[in-house]
Amino acid sequence: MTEQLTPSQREQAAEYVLGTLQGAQREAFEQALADNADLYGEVVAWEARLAGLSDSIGPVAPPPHVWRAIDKAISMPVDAPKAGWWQSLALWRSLAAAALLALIVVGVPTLLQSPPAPEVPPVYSLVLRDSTQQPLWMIVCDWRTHQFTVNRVAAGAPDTGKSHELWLVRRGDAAPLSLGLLKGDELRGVLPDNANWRGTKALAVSLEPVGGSPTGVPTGPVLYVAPTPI
Amino acid sequence: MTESPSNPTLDQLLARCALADRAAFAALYAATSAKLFAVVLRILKNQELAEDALQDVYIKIWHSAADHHAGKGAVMTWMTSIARYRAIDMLRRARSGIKVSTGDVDTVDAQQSPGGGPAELAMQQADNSRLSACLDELDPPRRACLVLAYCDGYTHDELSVKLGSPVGTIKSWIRRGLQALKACLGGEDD
Repeated sequence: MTEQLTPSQREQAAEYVLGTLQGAQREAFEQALADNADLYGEVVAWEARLAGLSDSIGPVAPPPHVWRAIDKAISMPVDAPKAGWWQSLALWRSLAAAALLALIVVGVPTLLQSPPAPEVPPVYSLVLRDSTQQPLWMIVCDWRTHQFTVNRVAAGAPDTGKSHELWLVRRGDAAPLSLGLLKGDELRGVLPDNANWRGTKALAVSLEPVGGSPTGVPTGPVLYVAPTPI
Repeated sequence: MTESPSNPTLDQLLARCALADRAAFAALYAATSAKLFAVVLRILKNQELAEDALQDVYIKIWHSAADHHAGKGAVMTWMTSIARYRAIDMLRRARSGIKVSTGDVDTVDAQQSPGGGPAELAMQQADNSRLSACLDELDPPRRACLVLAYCDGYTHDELSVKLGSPVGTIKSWIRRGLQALKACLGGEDD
């Protein structure tokens, strides 16, 4: 992780972002990027430096059939029910209309231990935060045992008649799995048999009727999300 | 396409995409596709290829949404980079089959540019004016090399033809131009 980049690597990173690194050199560089975090960081830094260059390019709306093709491509058959909120355009519209979107905040994963690519840390933590970065819940996940512990940090109670439900969001398009209701100061649990941390994209909290989602999949708005770092 | 301060930010939309929220993805597309399409169209200079590229780009964004984190940079920069790399790859591959124009591109219709909330925009504009100032400090040929390579996907060889200078000179201009830009923008020296 801490190996020093050579001047040549730094030049290559800059020219990779610029686009002038070509052919076999470009391919080799992309290969190297995959497992060299320093090199990747150098690329991200150049992307940020040069991003303004494209601001002189005025927007051009793509024709509607492009979106239709994209939408179709990501709608490939999956092992999930089709009618969840995460797929419902109608719900999106109603949410927007109700201005509930203001409730959505982004979770920022916090690592107790950084996850080097070849080895998975046995334990890592995620923090679900609100829009002001205030930590609400901290979740400690044990890679080996599939156990997890959620501790309330500063989360308030949900609105009357509602519950906070914790979901495990899997990779691919599979439906989220409920990990339980967040009430009290601590929730301990074990991942369902059909889930593991490696196949997990994120943990999320949605607002559900008291007692949790009646359907087994999220029905209410997603309030907080914390992507898993793996 | 409308933009109002109460709209969710791109970060929020992308976070919801990570949850396989297709409505959020539709909103993300609505907010960003005109920008990304312009970027790939400018590089590829071919409507059909640009449409194919844009499709690939958004499918990749959809599947990579959960992988984005702060270490990968701002959402718009991350998405624009995915688009540029895809377009550049396609351009290089298509070069043997399709004649890619090296002429100037007409300025495309400018609409209000989308992209994040007011704070995000203000930040971008601040960065941009700094970048502009730093670009202005470069000798014109160096500046031209960087802009043509970044925005239009020019290779060393194409720049050599376009600017009428040997490839070795072009490479040197680019290398020094990048170094000067980094120093001007406040990057640490190697």
